[in-house]
Amino acid sequence: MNEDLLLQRIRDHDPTAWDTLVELVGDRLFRAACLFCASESDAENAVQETFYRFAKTLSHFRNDSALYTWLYGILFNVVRQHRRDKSRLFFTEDPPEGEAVPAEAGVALDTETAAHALDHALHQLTPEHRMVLILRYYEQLPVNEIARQMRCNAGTVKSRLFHARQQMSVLVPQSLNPFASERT
Amino acid sequence: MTCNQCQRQLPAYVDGSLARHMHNAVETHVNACAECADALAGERKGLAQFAALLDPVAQQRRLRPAACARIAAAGRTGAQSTISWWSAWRRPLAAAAALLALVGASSICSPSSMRAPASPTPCVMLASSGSMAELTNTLSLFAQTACFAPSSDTLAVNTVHRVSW
Repeated sequence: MNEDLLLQRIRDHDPTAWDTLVELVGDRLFRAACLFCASESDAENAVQETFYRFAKTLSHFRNDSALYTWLYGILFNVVRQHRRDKSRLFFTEDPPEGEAVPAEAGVALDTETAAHALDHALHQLTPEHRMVLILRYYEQLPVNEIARQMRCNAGTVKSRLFHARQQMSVLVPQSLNPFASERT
Repeated sequence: MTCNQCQRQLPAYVDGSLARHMHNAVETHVNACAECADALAGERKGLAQFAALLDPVAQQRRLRPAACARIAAAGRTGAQSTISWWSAWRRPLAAAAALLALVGASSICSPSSMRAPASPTPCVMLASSGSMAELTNTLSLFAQTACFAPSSDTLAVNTVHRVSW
């Protein structure tokens, strides 16, 4: 669906427009949130808060950036705020829901194993190290942009990336480590 | 440049965001050091493969239908709360404005202001004053006038009412 049309429906208070927006970008935001958050329930809450804040700041959205990029920025701020203030009511400390998803038939074992190992290792990192790794290697952002998003300087980002990669090489087997060179 | 220093710069080196002298230093070091050359290859490999490696797990994650409904409702609530701010305050603000206008009009037309023709009425002066300094001067002048005017009590009461509004 055309984003402009959808936004116009939201601005016109069409009650079904929000459902359409969730259908359009909800899963993608949820997947991003799952990488940042400790549990899927936290990730759902983060996405919910993202939509709430988006609704409240809708007048500031000028279509300069893609809708998903704008929402991703809000989500990242929500997660960062959550990390600062864990006493917020909307985040629970429930155990992870549906973490153990059975492997689909037909998916190569290596790919599946690597994905689970990588995901597990990511969640063992400190939040700062996890965030820089995700922003750098999953979202493919340059160092300067990561620094801007995380509100720190580029040197800090470089340092965190260096340490995060070192930790990943300890947490993930060499054969599954995405940062291991072919020669080593 | 040490290996540690070089490897910290590799992400920015790949981005092309390093200053020229630093870029050259990293390039020289990587060409001479097998360990850092491996780290550079790892940086490029990570950028190329990390997302694809995670995708088999990430793509299985979907919002539950109940969560979708809850999230859409949060959006609707947020939009409503933005609208309801103005609706909630519209009537009180209109009432306050009307009352203020009424008080202003009454202070212009009140007999007390007519008994002190030497100075303009406070509301006119306040309305015409452009800056804080002018407003302060106006108030002090008015206070002096009020003290010496025959109906100072009435005027003082009027002033307090206006200021407190």
